[in-house]
Amino acid sequence: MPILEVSNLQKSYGTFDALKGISFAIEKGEILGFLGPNGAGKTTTIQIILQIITPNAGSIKLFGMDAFQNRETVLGRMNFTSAYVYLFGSLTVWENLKVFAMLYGVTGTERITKLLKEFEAYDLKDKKAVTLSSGQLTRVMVVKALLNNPELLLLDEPTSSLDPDIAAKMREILKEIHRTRGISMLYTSHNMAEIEAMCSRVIFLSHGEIVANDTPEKLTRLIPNHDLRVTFEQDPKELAAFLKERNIKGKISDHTLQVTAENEDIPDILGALFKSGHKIRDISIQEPDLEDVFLKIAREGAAKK
Amino acid sequence: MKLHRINAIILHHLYFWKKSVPRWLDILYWPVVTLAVWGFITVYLQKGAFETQGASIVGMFLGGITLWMLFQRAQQDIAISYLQDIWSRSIVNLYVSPMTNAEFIIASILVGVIKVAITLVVMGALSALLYSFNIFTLGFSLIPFTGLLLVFAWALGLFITGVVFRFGTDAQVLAFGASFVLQPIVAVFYPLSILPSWVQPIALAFPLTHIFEGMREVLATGVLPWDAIWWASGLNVLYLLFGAWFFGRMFSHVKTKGLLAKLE
Repeated sequence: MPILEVSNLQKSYGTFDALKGISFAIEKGEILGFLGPNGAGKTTTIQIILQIITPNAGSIKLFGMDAFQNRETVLGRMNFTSAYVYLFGSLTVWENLKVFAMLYGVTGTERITKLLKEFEAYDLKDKKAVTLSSGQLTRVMVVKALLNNPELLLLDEPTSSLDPDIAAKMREILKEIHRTRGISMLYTSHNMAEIEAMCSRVIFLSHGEIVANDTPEKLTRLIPNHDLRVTFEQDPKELAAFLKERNIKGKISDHTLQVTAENEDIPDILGALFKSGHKIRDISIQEPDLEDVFLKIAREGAAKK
Repeated sequence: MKLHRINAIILHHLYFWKKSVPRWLDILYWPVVTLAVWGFITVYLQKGAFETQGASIVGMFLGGITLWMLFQRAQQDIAISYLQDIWSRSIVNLYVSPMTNAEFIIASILVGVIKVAITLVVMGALSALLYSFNIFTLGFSLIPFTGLLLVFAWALGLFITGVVFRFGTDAQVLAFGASFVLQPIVAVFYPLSILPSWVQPIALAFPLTHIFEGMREVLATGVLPWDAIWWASGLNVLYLLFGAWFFGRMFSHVKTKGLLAKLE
């Protein structure tokens, strides 16, 4: 049974359709990535699941229950963190966590202490939330999100305000949480590498519709072309003549040839270049990644619009 | 010093004014309210009406201001509780937890009751110490008067919170100042008869008028006017139902429009 099952979710604001009937599910222990350009409907979906936005139509099942009919029960079994949500600024970290622990029915202080120590934030407990740095706040927000030992964690761009070093640490923390606790996660980010590293499956949203739903590896196969770059020692003019003769289409800048070609054609191109006797200084093959898929989908979406 | 930079800052302020009703209220509303309250007090004192009522002027004013402060304190608590969480951008964290609106409001009301109790003790002690006026001479009637004030304050607090949900912190001036709209017309410091005759029916539509009229009667005669209590109770039921309905409707509107996470 999926942890989360979203069926035909629709949301519109006046004439603007934010979600056009999306359906997806998250299995137990799965990390599902949500990708899409701004305005694609990622945050709207998360906020509907959290029940701070009312949808126009559709249903959500959480832990096998109708989410809207069982709000208190389902929200008590999940948690949320986002780069855009804060703690009570004038309260200390400890006071904040005590309030949230009580909201989730967590009694005593053992769990707060354990989590603060686990995430190396125990020394922050007496600091006012407003004085925390972005990295410190993110760690404390993760502690807050784990207070109720959730079965599902919704993460809305959790690393977007962090510097690369702290973002990497955050990803390690989340991976560790997933490995040790087996928590299911719904993860939105604009960082494609992050989604590729974190998620076992990715959903691409564009203009309120799911346009792709697969593993990162399979999604990158949506783009058959690879970028081949070959740097030569010869004069570029001589190289241009050779390419024309062999009917190879590519760009030449300085001494470098750049060809976009399907994977299976690359050995033939390289073979022809080697046989030609041109002296090759360097070869690089750039495989498509999620960013290329993202750009393709975003551009196709914009063109349709 | 450059004139174009001064002009730029003036323009910046004018743009704010143009788009903000609360800023216009700030400019127009406080002078009007203050003038109205002091104007009616002056008329009351000039007429010397208090001398015929058998109660001291000190008692009338201090009793009025004490009960008024209790009302104002309680009215602000619900709306300011929400505003504090909107200001700190933590309101989403609350609403993604299993907490319900009813739980938030009951908690705010209970905190409000504690604050009101502290306010009553402090104001009562200072009135006794500085002006030899004992608010507790109202005796048993202090209990229904305070209770009725609190219920109306909560009804108004719910209404204002609904407005804050709808218009965001642009409407926060109401949380602090809405009670003052009522102050000139609900006969806090002077009897209803001082008000112009066309204002009196409006005044009687508010529970506060019956409470303050009742307070003056207790101070003057020592007898609790039960008709004032019944009127205030009946009106409170209506206002409380309206406040709860309006709050619920605005909260639903905020969820439909997706504004909860955008409130600022």
